[in-house]
Amino acid sequence: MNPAPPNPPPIHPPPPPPQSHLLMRALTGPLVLTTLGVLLTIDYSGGITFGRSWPVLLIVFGLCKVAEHLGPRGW
Amino acid sequence: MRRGSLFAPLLLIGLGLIFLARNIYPDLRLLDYLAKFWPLLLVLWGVLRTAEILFWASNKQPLPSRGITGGEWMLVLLLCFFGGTLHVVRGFSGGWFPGTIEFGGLDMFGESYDYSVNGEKASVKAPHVVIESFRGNARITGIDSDSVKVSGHKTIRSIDRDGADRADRETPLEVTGDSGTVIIRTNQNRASGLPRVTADLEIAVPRGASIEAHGRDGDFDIRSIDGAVEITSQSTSVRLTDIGGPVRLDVTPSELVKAVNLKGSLDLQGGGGDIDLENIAGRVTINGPYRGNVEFHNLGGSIHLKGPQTEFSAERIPGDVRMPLGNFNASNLVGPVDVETKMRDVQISDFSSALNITVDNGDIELRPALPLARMDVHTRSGNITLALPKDARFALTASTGMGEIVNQFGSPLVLDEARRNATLRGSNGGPEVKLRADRGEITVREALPNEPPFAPRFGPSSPKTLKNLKEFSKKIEQ
Repeated sequence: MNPAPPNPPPIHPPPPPPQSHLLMRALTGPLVLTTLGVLLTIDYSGGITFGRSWPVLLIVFGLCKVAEHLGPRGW
Repeated sequence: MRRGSLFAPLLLIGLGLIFLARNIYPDLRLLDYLAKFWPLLLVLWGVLRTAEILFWASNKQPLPSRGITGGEWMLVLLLCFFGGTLHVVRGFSGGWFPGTIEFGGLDMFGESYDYSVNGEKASVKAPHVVIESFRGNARITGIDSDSVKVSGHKTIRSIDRDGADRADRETPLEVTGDSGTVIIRTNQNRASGLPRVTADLEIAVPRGASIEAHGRDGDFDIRSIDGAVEITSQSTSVRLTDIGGPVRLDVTPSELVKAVNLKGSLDLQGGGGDIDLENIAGRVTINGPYRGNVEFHNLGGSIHLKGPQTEFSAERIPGDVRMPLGNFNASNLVGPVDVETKMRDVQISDFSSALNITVDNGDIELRPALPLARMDVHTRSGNITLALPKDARFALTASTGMGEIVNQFGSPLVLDEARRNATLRGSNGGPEVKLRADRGEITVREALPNEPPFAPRFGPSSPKTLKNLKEFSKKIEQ
């Protein structure tokens, strides 16, 4: 009797498309929104005024975009 | 199919909870909380959405191409607009959201350069002093002299010393005019490019001078002047002490207008935060929306205050009036007194002249002094409490549209109760007293001896304002 055939190699699903850049793209909006809320809260509680701190929004947005580009390709 | 976001249902639940809380505790100052904490809604929204997306990603569910869609950004914009407006309207800040946006890196990365400024001009004993397009803080003091003397310093924000030096040359301080009219010109608007020039000036003028100032973004502190004072300015706080002539202020928005010991009248136009007036001999007219703490102490002339929500007039105020948000507390007024307000609880004690009160939504509590005068009191929604001295003479009619009446005074008042409303009548030969509550209860009781007045002499001042004034004094003294 033939020995039992070796288990067929497991069928790997095709590797999912790299999701990290999609993830970063989806996260950009919420992160910017959260930052906006935090900056306004700081303004209202007597800290740095939004008039001064608004560039942080640009920075967060920029960082998100950078992360989006770095994600799929690696370094 | 991807499920929708959790934010909308959570928002609905939150709204439901808020309105439920409001219905159970009607005193809850919901709008105030909303005005103060609405940015936290943005934070909550962002955090929830982030968590959702991370959750979808970890479950290998398809991700949306955009975390926040264009429509949602529109909603964010709308929320910011309403929240920012509410913040201003409820009196938490003077300017409109989000204040002055400062571009160009100068205000963030630039440095401040200080230049001292001086100027002097001989004048008559009672010159007219004009301060033109001024930005900064000025302390103007009347002294025994026959010249106008300006000293202080100019602050220029610039990236480097060269830029600041150039801006300094472009904005020389000029003290010109003739001996009758002295003009102080800071030329701050001449600075080319972005450098921002502000000045802190100490101006000594002859005591008999009259002052006219135009400017923005700063504080005026004027004292010991016998002439008239006229200020037209934006984003300015004004502090006046010992002024002889009439005062006209047109300042919007003002964080604080404080006037002590004025011999003439005071005409205040504009709007903003706090008003604090004390010992004013002349007529006081106030026109505009003031959302902070408004106080009057010892006003010798008539007063007329007109805002979008509240109108108040009286002949004199030997005592005190305090109007913190949602309240009108007064003690010792001379009338005829008229109070008309949409949303304030009104409490008045120690008065014996004619009184008219109309309130849309708020409680009224009155403790008149002897002898009683004519009273006509009406609230559409709220309770009325009237505490009458034991020996008061009156012809009282109290009625409710929906609500009961409690008679703790006793005779000669007679209660006539129907199923939903009630009427209380009685007379012992005094002036007419009419109370009417459309929806609310009325209580008529006997005043106890030595009940404290409704407007305590010293109330809590706004800490924000105090801080600004302290900073201002410190700056000037440097």
